[in-house]
Amino acid sequence: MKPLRIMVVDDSGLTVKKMVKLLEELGHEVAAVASTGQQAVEEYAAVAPDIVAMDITMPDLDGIEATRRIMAVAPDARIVIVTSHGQEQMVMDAIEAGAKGYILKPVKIEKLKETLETVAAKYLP
Amino acid sequence: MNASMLESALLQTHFDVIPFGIYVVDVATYEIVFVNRHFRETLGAAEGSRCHEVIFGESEPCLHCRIPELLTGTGMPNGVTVIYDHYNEREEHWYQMQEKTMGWPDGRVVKYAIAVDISELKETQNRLAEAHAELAIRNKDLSAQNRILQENIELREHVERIARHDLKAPLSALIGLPQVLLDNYDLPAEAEKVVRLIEQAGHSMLEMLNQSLVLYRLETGAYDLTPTPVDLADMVRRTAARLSTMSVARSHAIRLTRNGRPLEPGESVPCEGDALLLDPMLQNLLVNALEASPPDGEVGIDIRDDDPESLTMAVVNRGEVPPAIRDRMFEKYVTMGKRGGTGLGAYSAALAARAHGGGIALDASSPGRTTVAVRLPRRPGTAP
Repeated sequence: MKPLRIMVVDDSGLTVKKMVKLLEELGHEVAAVASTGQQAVEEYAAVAPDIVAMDITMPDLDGIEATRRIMAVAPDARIVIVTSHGQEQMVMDAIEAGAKGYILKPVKIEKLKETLETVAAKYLP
Repeated sequence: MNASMLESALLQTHFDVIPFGIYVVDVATYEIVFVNRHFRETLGAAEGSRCHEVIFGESEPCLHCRIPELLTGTGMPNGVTVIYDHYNEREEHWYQMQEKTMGWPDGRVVKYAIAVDISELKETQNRLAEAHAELAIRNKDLSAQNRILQENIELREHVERIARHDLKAPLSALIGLPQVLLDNYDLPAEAEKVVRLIEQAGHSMLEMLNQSLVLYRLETGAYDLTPTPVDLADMVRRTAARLSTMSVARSHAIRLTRNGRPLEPGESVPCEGDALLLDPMLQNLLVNALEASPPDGEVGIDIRDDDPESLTMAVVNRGEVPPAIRDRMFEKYVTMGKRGGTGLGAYSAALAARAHGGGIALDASSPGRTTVAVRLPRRPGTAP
């Protein structure tokens, strides 16, 4: 598949590092890294990524609310939630907010590849 | 060895035999005071380092740190045990954490944390959560598609409604002007014939439009049934007479009966119904029977009125409905493949029967014979 421009949003430096490594292994470009939900909302338009990989638990604005706010200004945004939370309610809230995919940590490269390919095929123009 | 050292050694021995990772942290400084043998195997000698750095890979105290919940206002152990699941980013493992504060033999207040690796359980739960998520996303996509489909249907209905109404205006000229031509111009005989054909075509088209409007109202539930006294015997006789002169009848005989015996001239079968629906319904069923019947076959219409609750009109012909469409015979656009068939005749007949509170049924149980029976309640609009 053609390389995607991905925005990674996570407050954990360790997770960001791992995610960047996996994305680069898959041949994608990390277009931007945001360490808070607020930063992601503010920078989304300027970065205009193909897909956002969004954490849920972050200090200032959580990933569900950040998803909601990005979707409000960019309804065609493609946001994939990447989180360690396995609770179903979190899943439903994220999808209700507009998330197009959901990956649970620890992120396996096959699962990441499959989710990015599915989301790109279904929602990228 | 003094008492405090002895107590400390005893505690450490206790912790060492427990087969789960245990670490003890000074609540004031986050300094690791002790890790048990189980933890030491993976973590190494961590004593003296900060817990958030060594265990969680964070330079600052963790966001999820529960120490404040385990202390009194004066910073003493409050006896509370917190239990929670935690994903360790550094190790990529899930742990169930049990944490409590206590006084350490050297006088410091410490938190001890027992970490049970629950990664396998979490893996299963996560796969389940991902499957749920996948379903929820598909449901959301489907609802969006359904919304678009519904909008398309509404748009199509709107266009059809406009077409039906708008077509009627120019049609009045097509129906009215031929008579003006015939009355005011001395037309040659051939031209007169053509003009009459145009007039007839106009009437047919108007009839089709009216019928499609009725069909539309029946489908959308907007039809207002107005039952009036109807003589079923008279209706059957008139319909049979009209069709027998038309090409569709070819050489077929149409046999009319009441409860199985020949219908006598002048005999009447009164019932309540909406003639605007019943007339075309009977015509549609009879046309279908005539068209499906082999050459020189007889087509029968039997009125049965020996039931106090309902009446039945059964149209019988030779020939069989193909097995593949028997179950769908009264669905919209289902045809037997005849030329010019719209698949609306049997469908509209079924809608008309249902609008009366009755029903329609196909009986293909006798080989070589097809019966379509319409049941009408004696009091229309109420199911018998």
